[in-house]
Amino acid sequence: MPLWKLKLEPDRYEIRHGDSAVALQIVDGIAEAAGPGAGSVRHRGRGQALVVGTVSSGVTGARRPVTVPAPAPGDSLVLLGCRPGEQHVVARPSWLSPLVGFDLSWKKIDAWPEFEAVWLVMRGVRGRYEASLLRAAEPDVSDDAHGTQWARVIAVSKLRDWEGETARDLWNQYRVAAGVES
Amino acid sequence: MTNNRGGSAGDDLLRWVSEAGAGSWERLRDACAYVAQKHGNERRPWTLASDLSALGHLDIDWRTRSWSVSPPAINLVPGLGLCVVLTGSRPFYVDRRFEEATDDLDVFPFEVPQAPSPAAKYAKCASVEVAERVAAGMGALFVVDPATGLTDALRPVDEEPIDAAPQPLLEEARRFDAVTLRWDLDHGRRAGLYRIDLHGRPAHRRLDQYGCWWAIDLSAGQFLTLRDRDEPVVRWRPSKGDSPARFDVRRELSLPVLAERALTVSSGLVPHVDGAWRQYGNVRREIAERIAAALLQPLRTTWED
Repeated sequence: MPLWKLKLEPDRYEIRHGDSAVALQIVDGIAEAAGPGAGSVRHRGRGQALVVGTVSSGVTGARRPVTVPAPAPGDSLVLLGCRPGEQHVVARPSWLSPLVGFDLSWKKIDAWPEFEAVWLVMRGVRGRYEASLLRAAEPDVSDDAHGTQWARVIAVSKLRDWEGETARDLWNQYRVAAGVES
Repeated sequence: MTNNRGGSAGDDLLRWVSEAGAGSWERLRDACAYVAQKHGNERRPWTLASDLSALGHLDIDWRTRSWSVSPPAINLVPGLGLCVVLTGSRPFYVDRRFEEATDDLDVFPFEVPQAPSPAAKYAKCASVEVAERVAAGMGALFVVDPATGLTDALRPVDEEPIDAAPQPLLEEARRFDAVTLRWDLDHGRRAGLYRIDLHGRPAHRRLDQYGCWWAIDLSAGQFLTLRDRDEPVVRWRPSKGDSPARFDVRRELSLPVLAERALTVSSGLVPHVDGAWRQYGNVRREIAERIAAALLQPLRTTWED
């Protein structure tokens, strides 16, 4: 007899048939995290790699993201490193809301640059891109950076008004390194 | 098995494997058949188990015909805006700890039903540190960028181990056609990938150009057969408007489990089938490139919807 059709709530029950009786208890669950033997089957991957679920061991560790303010819907922000080529554009995952069926809003989101970010560049209240300092590091420019995307972001941005002395000095160095100022 | 509050067949199966922990394929197949019958699901029982494996809840070893549920994990995935994805074991008490750990002003839990597969569970976190705290609070592993780890571990299909096999009975065997992507009865005993019936279960054998037979995994066999095909069988589309970047594979093809898992965990969802293609959302180009390389396929960029 399939008991699930009765939709019994967790409790103690007794089933009788003639003189026979059997006691049973329906519980919400037994395992605290997973039943015995969980994780015992592993997939052997390339080299020494072993995979259980979504966890891969024996592989190069993934880079860790940073938390940044979410740009306005439809807009994006840019993280800049200290070298030309080190720019990373971040936008909201606007595709998620239609998928889940309700509006998701963000104050902060994750960014995954492949470099150590120095500047966070996002649109200010007047619509212009404004840079704020994340980490003090001088520009590392050996060749002419003028005309690179990295330099273009610096050229169209200004320093945020409330940034301190260190940020102002560094921003001037980046403007020079980008070929915006001499 | 308790009624999982109106969940899908996949939710029920996930609850069962989470409580059972590990076991034989025969036991899992029976559980699949039971929940499929309960939910009036007409898919073959093993497809439910395959979905759980693709979604990173379950690991199946087809050689030893055994399986185990993977421990619960909170996955921080690039491109999901700090919406972490819960994978692995999901018994009642993990569900309850997930609710407790996300009962916080900095966290917003939600789920996306995708019957007959188990619902995708997310928690939108205020920061990376909050995501880590949610994982610690519920005793789950914290996995950063799982798709990169999975594709790091992914072996190219020509490096998959294969074993010599006796010549199978070929009366009912079908040969995989690299042009039509179909399985043909009229095989003419030519070299290629064959599907045979082994004790009531499909198995795959490769006949090489020297007349030797090899036991081979379905996905490795298919992509080895397709390595010289001109028409692409995988493609990548950049994000466009309200659509995320996407990896597509022809629906007739099976992917290696680690590739499939890297693709599903990129969004937390099973793929969407559209015409001839199976589509996986929120897949970055670097992940698509790694997977295409492991499949020995060129990666074409498309702008099609």
